[in-house]
Amino acid sequence: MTKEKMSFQELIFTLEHYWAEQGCVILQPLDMEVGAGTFHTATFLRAIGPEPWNGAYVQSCRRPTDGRYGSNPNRGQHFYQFQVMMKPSPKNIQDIYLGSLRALNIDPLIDDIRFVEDNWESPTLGALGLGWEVWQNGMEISQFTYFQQVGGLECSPVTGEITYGLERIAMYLQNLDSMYDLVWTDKPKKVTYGDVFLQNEIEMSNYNFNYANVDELVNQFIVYERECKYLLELTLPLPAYEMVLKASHTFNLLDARGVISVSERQNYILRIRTLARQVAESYYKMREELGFPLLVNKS
Amino acid sequence: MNGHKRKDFLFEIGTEELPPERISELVASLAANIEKGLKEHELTYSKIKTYSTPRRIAVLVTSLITCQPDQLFELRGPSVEIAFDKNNKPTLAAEKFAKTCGITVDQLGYIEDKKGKFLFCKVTKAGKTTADLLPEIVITSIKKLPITRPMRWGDSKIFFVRPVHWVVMLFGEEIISTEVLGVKTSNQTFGHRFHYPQAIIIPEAGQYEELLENIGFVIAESTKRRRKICEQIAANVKTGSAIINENLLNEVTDLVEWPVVLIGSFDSHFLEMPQEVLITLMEKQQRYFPITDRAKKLLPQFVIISNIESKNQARIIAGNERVIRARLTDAEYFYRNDLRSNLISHSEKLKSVVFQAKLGSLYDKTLRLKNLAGFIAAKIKANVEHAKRAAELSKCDLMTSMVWEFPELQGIMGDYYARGREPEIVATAIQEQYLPRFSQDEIPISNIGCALALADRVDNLIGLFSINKIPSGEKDPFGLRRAATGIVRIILEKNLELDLKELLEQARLNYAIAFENNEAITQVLHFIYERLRYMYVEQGKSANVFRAVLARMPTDLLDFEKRFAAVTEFNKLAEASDLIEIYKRVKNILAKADKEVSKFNKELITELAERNLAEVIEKESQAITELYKNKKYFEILLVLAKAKPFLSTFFDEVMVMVEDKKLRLNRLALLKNLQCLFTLVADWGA
Repeated sequence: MTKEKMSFQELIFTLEHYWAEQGCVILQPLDMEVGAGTFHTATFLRAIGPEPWNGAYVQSCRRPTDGRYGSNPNRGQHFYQFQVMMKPSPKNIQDIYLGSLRALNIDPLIDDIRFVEDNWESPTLGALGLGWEVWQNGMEISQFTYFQQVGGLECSPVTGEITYGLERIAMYLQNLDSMYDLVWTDKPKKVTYGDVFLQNEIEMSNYNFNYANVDELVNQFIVYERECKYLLELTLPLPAYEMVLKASHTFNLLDARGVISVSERQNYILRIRTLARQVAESYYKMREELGFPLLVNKS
Repeated sequence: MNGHKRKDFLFEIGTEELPPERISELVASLAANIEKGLKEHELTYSKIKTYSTPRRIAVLVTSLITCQPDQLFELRGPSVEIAFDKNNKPTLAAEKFAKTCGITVDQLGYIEDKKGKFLFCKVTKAGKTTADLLPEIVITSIKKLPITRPMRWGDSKIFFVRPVHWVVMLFGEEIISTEVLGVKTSNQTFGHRFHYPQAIIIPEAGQYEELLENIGFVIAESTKRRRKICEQIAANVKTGSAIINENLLNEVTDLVEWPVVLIGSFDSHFLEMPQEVLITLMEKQQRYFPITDRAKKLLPQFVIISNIESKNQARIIAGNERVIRARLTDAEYFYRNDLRSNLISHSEKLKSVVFQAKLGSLYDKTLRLKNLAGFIAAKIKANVEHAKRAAELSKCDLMTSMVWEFPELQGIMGDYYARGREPEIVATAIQEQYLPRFSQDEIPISNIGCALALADRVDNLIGLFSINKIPSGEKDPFGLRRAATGIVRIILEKNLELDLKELLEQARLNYAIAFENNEAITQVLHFIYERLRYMYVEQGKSANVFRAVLARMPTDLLDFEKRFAAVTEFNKLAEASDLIEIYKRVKNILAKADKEVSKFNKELITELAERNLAEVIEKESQAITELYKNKKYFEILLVLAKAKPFLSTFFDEVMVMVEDKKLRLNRLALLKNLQCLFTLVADWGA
């Protein structure tokens, strides 16, 4: 490993390479708006049922309420996660994870690495798990979770999920205080994270907070919900799941527009969760009918 | 026989990082369960020691006996009638019994008692070896652990707090081979995750602690680890001193195996923010210990407890400083932002926050509090306008960025944001409304704070009882017991003359809607008395006296206290027990007597003792009424005590339940008058 500072894109290459060596299928981001890597079909749906699955990918995440018009050095409405899921979770998954930190030049005999209890729950996905935040010198750099339930279904076997906050780790590796100063690449010419995303952050914050069409969004939510139910009747769990994601993002936009009261909020979450559960059940049945294809050993 | 030999027994479960707030309970419970198992099997030992770190819980039993004592059983068989036939030959039943005892029929003895004569045998069974018994004892102990959120991992069906990696079961030098939580037991533990990740073979159970500390970079005993942390803090904090929050200290102790204390700092301009913000941020978000100077003023420094002896400590410090800087910058942004708007400007937003689905928004609650706090202020002679203003502002800080980010700063931020813009006492009251937060916590100092704190709690109680959200058993999601205790403490400790019933009625009127539960006022009143009883009993006061006073339902708590004190004092008098007996007799007679009532008529007096009693009652009634008005309860009881001879004589000489109805009713009327005097203060028959 070179001693010079790792660029943002090198960080991604390194993680992809490392997890490929651990037997993960390296995927690309889901081409839809999601709030976290967990929403990618390669985690949410693959965690359901008995089939084994190891996968890793970068996911761009959108959280409209976290927008700060590019003025907050640590927080934005768009950011990247690097997501790993291994099912069943290997016995030494913590050690494998620590290996990935070493690959990033993080030495746990220099830096104070800690697994600090943090149990995870996604009300919209009907999912929960137990695990930790991983701290490096007091900073959360990853989320580590053993899924216990997904879409309301008990997980068996259990999926181990690791989520890296890429901007945070990169800021640490490059010793910078603002994510917009991050070096995306400097070969041959320096391009920063701000060059790539600052304008986007400002414009999207503006859209999310001020201009997203509330009436239209309320209506869209209803449409996505209806479509999802219809697709479930047709036993098409994968397209139905896309409707769940669209409904979820629509809700997030409404939330950012500040038009959802506390009780309405609960109601929206419940509606999305109901859909997610139905999709999970439908997906399970579908895989079962297909004979759980990934259980078969292909040599 | 090796029954007297003793060895140490070690049991360790090695796991992935356990939730720190669960560890001490878990290991204590494991030790208690093992202790119980050992006792049940009559296995004696010297003592039980526990060890726990984020990655292990362990129990060491020292000088554990290696074998159970021999077990003596006394067995009773069939009666001789059944055991032998007419020819005195043993029956099948006798043979069977002999077989159970492991001997022949002719070797059996006899026992004779009231029920007859029976076959009998004393059997001695050799005790089992401890090594044989330990697996079952340990496995039973684990099954009974209090695991609130059990989890599974991989494809195993086993549940535990976190995934299990190794299990040590070592009796002296001997491995007790079995399977625990899906893992084969061994004599191998593991050291610190980073300093010594390899296996450490434990040759003998007693060497566990030493090996882990000398080789493994693990201080296994949590009290020792905690002590080390405190010592290191003392040694490293050169100027000022660290604020050691006991809960945080315990948590941090269970987050590390090898504590190394480091000191970080931040830019001093952040100190312009309220101290509470900085302390909360350091303690709650980062698990740092804040540092103050001699005058208890915060210094721009903090204590980090790291888990490694780093090759480059400066990096750890710099990393932590970067994190705190980012968090403080965030907080500063919130604080500045909040300061820009007037606290009252958040009031409108409270309309969109639900207090409780059936009880309206926080805004509605604020309006009710305004009425109620004003009402209370008038009663306790505090400034009504200030109380109303404090109530109006009371929930506004919940809408500020800072409280959104740090909910535990509610009230505190309201105070800061109101300061300079509102009368000082109003600002103080906003903070004091949440006092007392727990049983030993302080209560509000200002009278406006008291009014608001009382109003908030009374409103909660009446509202939630009215929609039948009544605490039951362990369940008290709205903290209503705490609210009721708070009411009692504020009223009693501040000597506030307030009529609870009136207060509850007022609170109920504030809810201008019909409710499913119409008994709420009475129920809340009893609920509050229940808390009072609990507090009294905890202070070692008499439950009987409590019951006697409660029977009078004094709705003013200060009045309750006065009566309680009077009765307690009265009980010390020589006449007390006789008087109470007499009173109970009066009450019994009246309870059984005719429902018909008549007024006492002097003309119908026939006996001297009757006349004497009537005269005493007539004479003292006047005095007692006067005393009662002035709440001189003990003096009332003294008057009654002095009248005791007349009472005794009356009951000795006069028959109440006579045939003659007129006479009977007249005497009952006399007793009724007497009862009225007695029950003015308390009701002993309750």
